[in-house]
Amino acid sequence: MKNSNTSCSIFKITTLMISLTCIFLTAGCNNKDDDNSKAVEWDFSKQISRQINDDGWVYTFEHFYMKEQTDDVGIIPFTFSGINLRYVYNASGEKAWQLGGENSSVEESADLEKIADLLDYQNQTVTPDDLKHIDVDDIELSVIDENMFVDLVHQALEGEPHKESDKYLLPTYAILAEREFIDNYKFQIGFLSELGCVDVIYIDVLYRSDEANCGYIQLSDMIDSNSASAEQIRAFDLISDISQGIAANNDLMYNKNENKQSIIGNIDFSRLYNFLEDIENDDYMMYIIE
Amino acid sequence: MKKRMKKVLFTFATIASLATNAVAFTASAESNTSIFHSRACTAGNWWSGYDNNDIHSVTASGSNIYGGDVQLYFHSTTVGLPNSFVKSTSRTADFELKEDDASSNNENEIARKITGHFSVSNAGYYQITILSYPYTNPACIESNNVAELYMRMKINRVSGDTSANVPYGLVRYQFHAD
Repeated sequence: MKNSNTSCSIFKITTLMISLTCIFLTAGCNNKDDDNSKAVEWDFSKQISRQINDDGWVYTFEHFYMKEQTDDVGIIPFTFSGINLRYVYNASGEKAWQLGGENSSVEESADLEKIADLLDYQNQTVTPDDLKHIDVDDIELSVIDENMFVDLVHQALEGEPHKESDKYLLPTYAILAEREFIDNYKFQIGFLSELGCVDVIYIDVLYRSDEANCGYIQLSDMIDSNSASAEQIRAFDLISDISQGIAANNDLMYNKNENKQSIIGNIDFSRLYNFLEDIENDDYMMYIIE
Repeated sequence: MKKRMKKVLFTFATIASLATNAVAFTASAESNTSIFHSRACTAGNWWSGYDNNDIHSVTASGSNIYGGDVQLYFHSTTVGLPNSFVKSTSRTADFELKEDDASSNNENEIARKITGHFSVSNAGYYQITILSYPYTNPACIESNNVAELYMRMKINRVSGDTSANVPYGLVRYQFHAD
């Protein structure tokens, strides 16, 4: 975004969120055993590119297409979206996790309307060749970065199809949290998935705080402000490792045996793995944020 | 081309004008229930609140309740569609708002039929963006001022879907009586 609307200063989480433009050629699915374990046949494919920012915002351009000729004239080929996997609420305590969602600005909505026109959501007549030739002069945006948008379009359309795997029950996006604070904290997990793969996952710990507008402060922000204890830093490092491992191996149970019994800085990792297991088993209803 | 009728006040795409209307509704004096999450179900099959003991009472201002006096509102959710669904505007969802009359040995009445039409919102997400109302029962569905309401839901399949699993929480909904 040209102007950050998040509640916190930018925090370089080099181990969790990679500040570069990614093309998800193999993200979440480069485990060499995936082909052997894959038992799902996909009738469609996607070319996807993502920009993942330290502030939690993940911007995605997607080209969707059926592998075989279809009579369905309603296929929607191109979309652009943004979601914040780190912050559900803005500084005022309002839900603001989705670009163009609740509490979005007029300028943001106007930008998305221009993108919707360019990508032709209404009629779906624009082609990949049309979009391969766009540049920043073809669209004028006020708060969304035109360069980022154009770069994502080009990278996706010039890239390989997204890899396929078997986690087809996962939603394309989800932001979930333990329902109650237990021992004064709860886990929050945000993720994006495509074609059976966990592409991006962000795990954080929320500490109850009556002073905060949203009712909690986040461990990631405590790390950022150097107010976390040494044990909390160690816990956050382990969370980072787990998150990276989940995405790299498309395995929600990544290193479960090694880490499930860990309690670091009063953070009980068995709760995290129970949470991840519920997601894996399509049993995450109690974690949906109201 | 589908005939697009009146938009419901809240949709899955938080369009500013729809959000404004929805705020006006929830601030009024009419009877509203809490907001509920839809249950996991199978695309192409009906899920019924009646069969799952998911029936809720709402109190209307009048002594008789007609089909047009009750409504099903939808709210945004932090969970998207399964990654196994084809993105097509051909997909629809069927909802029925029904009134439970089993205790009086009468047949349960349909108050409203609602069709959800899938497309991509300006926010770039594939979801129900338009609701149409193919049927509203003009008759009295309850002869007192308390209606026992439940929802039936069917997310329709599209050729090419990898799975028919519809997750919990795909829809957040609320019952209302004028």
